[in-house]
Amino acid sequence: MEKLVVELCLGSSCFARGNSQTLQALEAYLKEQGLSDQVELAGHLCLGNCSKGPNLRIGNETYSGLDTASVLELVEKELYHRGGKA
Amino acid sequence: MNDLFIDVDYAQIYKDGQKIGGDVFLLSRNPEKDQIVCTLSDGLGSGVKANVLASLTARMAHKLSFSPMDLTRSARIIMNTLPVCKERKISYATFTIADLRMLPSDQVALNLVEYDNPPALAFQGGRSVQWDIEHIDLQRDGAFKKEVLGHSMLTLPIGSRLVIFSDGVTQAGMGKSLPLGWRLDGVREFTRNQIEANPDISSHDLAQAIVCRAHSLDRLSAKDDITCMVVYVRRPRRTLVVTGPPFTKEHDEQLVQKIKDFEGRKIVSGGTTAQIVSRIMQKPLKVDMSCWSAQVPPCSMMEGIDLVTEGMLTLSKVATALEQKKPVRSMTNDAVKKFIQVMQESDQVHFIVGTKINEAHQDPSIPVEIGIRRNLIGRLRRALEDVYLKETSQEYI
Repeated sequence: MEKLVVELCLGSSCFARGNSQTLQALEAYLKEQGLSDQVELAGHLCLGNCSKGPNLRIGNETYSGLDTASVLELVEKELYHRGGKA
Repeated sequence: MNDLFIDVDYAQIYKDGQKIGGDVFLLSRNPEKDQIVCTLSDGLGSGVKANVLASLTARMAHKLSFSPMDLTRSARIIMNTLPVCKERKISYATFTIADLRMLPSDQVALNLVEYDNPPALAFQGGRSVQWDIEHIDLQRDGAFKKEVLGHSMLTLPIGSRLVIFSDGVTQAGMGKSLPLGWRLDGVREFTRNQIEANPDISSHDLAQAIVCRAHSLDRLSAKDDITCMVVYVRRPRRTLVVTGPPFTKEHDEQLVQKIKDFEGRKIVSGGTTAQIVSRIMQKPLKVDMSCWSAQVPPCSMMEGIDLVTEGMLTLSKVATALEQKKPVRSMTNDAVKKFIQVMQESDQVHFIVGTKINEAHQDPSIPVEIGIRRNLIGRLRRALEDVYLKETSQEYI
């Protein structure tokens, strides 16, 4: 199965608005759950949408203004969904 | 900025068991006259008393060499001023003063005054250079011994080195590994080999190598203070820091041209700026997820640029670390560490500061560091100049 790509904007604004914590939490979560082989974390430079940040993309979906807990929940859901399909 | 750089540094190990040194090294720069004065003084005895004598001597020699006074008169004043040792009934400290001035002809004029320290060594590349020394007899009333100053005037072309040390270096190993110590010839040979093995060795590393060798000859228990200073005349190592997008889009091309034309290392600090450079240079940017920390976003990689970092958060952490003189080895492996390493390996840093404002950065809920770029660059430049003695310049775009 193809890896789920989670792409985080790591520009100054998004990084400071929460993507720093989200990235840390995601790394810890994937390690704990042994899911590193199913998810690819990628960083992105500023996408020019700072005022709505923090911005990130999970698979093909773009999200704005999410806190860490919501992101973890979304990733979890997406993985469950994929698992169900497989 | 100058096309010539005088790299001066020293290394020192105290006599075994001492917490304070009797060898004192001083360095001052007078940027208006392109002048550098460095002084090495060795006080009688060791510990606090020697330190007082040497500090007084070095400080006086230093101040006097910035004055137009005749150097023999300066030397007399120094010797008449020193406090007299209770046990030995003499007042005594050796000194070497190197007064270096940049000449317009890509050379450095050296005015060297030596009193009772081992003679200085000079090298042109890996070749040892000999020169004539004028000896001046001070004939001071009440002197306890014959007092002779050595005076030399030399011109040092690019690639020259001057090595000055205390007798702790030449006498290292005496009675242990070597009957008469390391001696001048031993130090000369070792230094020559070091330069041959590493022709670009910095003054810091060469001084360190000499001192460490002397220390090991003393079987890691120094019998006297071991001090060595090195002067190296070379081309400056230049770095360009580009941060912030230009105020108007029309200047983007101009910015990239400036980056292309620059000779030296190149840093782009700022995501949007990096994307502008990447677009115009047609080189892809890739975020390097291997080096980031909770406070600092990751670096990116791009062909033709030595380091690409995020802008404001990174620069603000760099400024704080430079101001506090944080040692690089204690830092986490992130963009701040990489940035500071490049700064430390540079002599001249030129900043091109884009003045476009990102309105989202003015949001009161995000860290105050993401404020005004111009203020931050001011802090960086002050830290580089005041703490690390680097030359800096800047332009806005």
